[in-house]
Amino acid sequence: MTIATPLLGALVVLVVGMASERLMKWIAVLVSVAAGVFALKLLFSIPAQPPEGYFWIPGIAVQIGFNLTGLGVWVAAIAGCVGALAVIFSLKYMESEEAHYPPTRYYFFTVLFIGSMIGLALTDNLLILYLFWEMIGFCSYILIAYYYRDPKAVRAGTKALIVTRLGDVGLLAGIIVLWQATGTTNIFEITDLAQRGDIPLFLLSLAGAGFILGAVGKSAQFPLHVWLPDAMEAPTTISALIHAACLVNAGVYLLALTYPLFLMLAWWGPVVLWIGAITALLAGILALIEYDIKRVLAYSTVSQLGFMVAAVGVGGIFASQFHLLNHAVFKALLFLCAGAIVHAIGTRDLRQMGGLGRKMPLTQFCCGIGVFALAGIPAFSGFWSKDQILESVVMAGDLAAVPLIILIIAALLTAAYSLRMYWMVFAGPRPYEKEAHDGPWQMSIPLVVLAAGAMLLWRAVGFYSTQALAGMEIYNLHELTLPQLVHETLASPLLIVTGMIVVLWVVFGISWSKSGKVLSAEGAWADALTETKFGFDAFYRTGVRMITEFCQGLRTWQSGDVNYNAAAAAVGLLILLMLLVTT
Amino acid sequence: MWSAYWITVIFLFSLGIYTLIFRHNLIHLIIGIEVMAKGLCLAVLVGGAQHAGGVFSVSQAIVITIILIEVATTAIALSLVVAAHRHTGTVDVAALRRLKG
Repeated sequence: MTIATPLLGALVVLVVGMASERLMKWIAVLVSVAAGVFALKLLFSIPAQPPEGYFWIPGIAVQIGFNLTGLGVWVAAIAGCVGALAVIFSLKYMESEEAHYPPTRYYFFTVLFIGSMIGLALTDNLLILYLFWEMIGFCSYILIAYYYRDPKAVRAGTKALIVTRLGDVGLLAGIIVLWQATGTTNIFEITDLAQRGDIPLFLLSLAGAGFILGAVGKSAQFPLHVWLPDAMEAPTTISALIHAACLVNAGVYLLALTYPLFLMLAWWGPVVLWIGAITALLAGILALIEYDIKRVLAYSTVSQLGFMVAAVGVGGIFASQFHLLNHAVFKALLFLCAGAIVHAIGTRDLRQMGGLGRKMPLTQFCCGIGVFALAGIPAFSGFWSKDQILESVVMAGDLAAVPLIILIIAALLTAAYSLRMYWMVFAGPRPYEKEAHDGPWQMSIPLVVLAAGAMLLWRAVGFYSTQALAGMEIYNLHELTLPQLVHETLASPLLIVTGMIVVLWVVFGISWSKSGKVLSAEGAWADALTETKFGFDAFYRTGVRMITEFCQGLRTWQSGDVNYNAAAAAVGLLILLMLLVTT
Repeated sequence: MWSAYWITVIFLFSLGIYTLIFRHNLIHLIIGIEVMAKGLCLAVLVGGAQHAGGVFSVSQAIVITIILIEVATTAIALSLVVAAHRHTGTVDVAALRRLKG
């Protein structure tokens, strides 16, 4: 029901969109809100026994069942709710674009995306998961390249598609290996088999590497993180929905789901941990020097996803999923704030902003909450979950010492770049000169809802952990109530990190308001860094060029001459004959 | 006694392939294909005649079908040649090089 509503709704949107665009938009809103409500309802009533699956294709043992454990249901709920808010926000945000670009395409793919994401989160079958995995990738590609008259957007879409495809191939290979090894694609059956040691270690290693590759591609982790910042060419609502709250979480979700499966592999956890830590650090540095507001947020997303991946690597499933939930809310909030700002003043360059606070008080308030949550200031949601992550890394012992230091540095970087972004947009010595104002209600309501979420969601931790544990005995988690969370957090030595963050903020705040200048990386090295982004783009470009040249070389074989082709066919025939004779 | 037939089959088939490889005239190519196909027809017929349980009549039926289809494909090929001639003014295959991928 939850899955079918948006999927069928997308079709309705498509059909109605041909007749009337106004009606189509309201249907899109209705469908996405309905999907959000259904997902929430599911959250409050997770059935003890999952409903019976049914066979899709008789003979091929592909059984569609539902994965109604806490992990999936929460991801589905995030997708449904943030999706509904993003669609409402788009009503106004996309209005000015409608003359140039067809709105039906936008709403169709957005609703389709929401449906696919919910489907991905609720299925218990790896093949179906892969199907939805590809669908969200495809919707993301279409929506990144939505401004199809802009060559930059088209290139960014293509880049996202190709880079994530690298990961998807890994995931598919992993699924096939597991299918071959176990004869089933049901994730829970496979996990059972793996824990009993029935899967050969070699095959399990192959599958583990494939799944890591898949998650690295989808969640924009090092070294495949290059597509996400470029994906910011998409409409901002799409960035909020797909590239902050949903699609990029699919990789983390996959890793968390398959964590028990790969427990046997000694190398799996540390590899995941290191990938996450390196990503968090690199993206944090880049976010600090970037001048495009959406790209700052994109790097910040990459960095936060690095935290979650690292937490999965040390077995902190709960911490990573809790951060995933919080991050989805406050990053969607920040993106929608950025959307409101871009909508109001028409530029994404941070240097042209400043002093906007007086003109856009509501946006400033909501964005402030988002920034507080992102930086990890106590009493906001990001603080609790980030602390949980660091704590789970501490628990992992000496092996994780270096990643822990890296993650702490990344947490400080998070505080620095989030304050820098906020400062450059809203503070500043003089007010913004040109006209700017808060958005209309279609834009304000989602902001307020998400801001409330970012502020209060951590209070639901008890409920969250109970629900997240439903049907998840194999994950070996312990329930965590709110008082316990508070106690654990405040009693841990990691409070020092928070202290450092607060000190950092105060120091920066004072020095910036005195000098009137924000920490801006100036000089050749910073420009070079912004330009090259640690050289990953150049690296991939070289790879692409090599493949292109190889194919160009192959082209000379295809001369277009009938005689050559006939000769080749004759030679092929001879070879076939010889094979027939010899065997 | 059968080997004479088989030698003819191989000769016709090789002749067709030789034409396809070394001729540049489109009409010649079509004739080459025809010769190849006739060699194959003969092969099917001879194979049917050599069948262990007496003459295998299905092979004759198949050959009739092949000949019918041949006619149709040749007609299409010739019409393509006419179109190519209109387009390039010659029946040389080298003029069609622009189809190179």
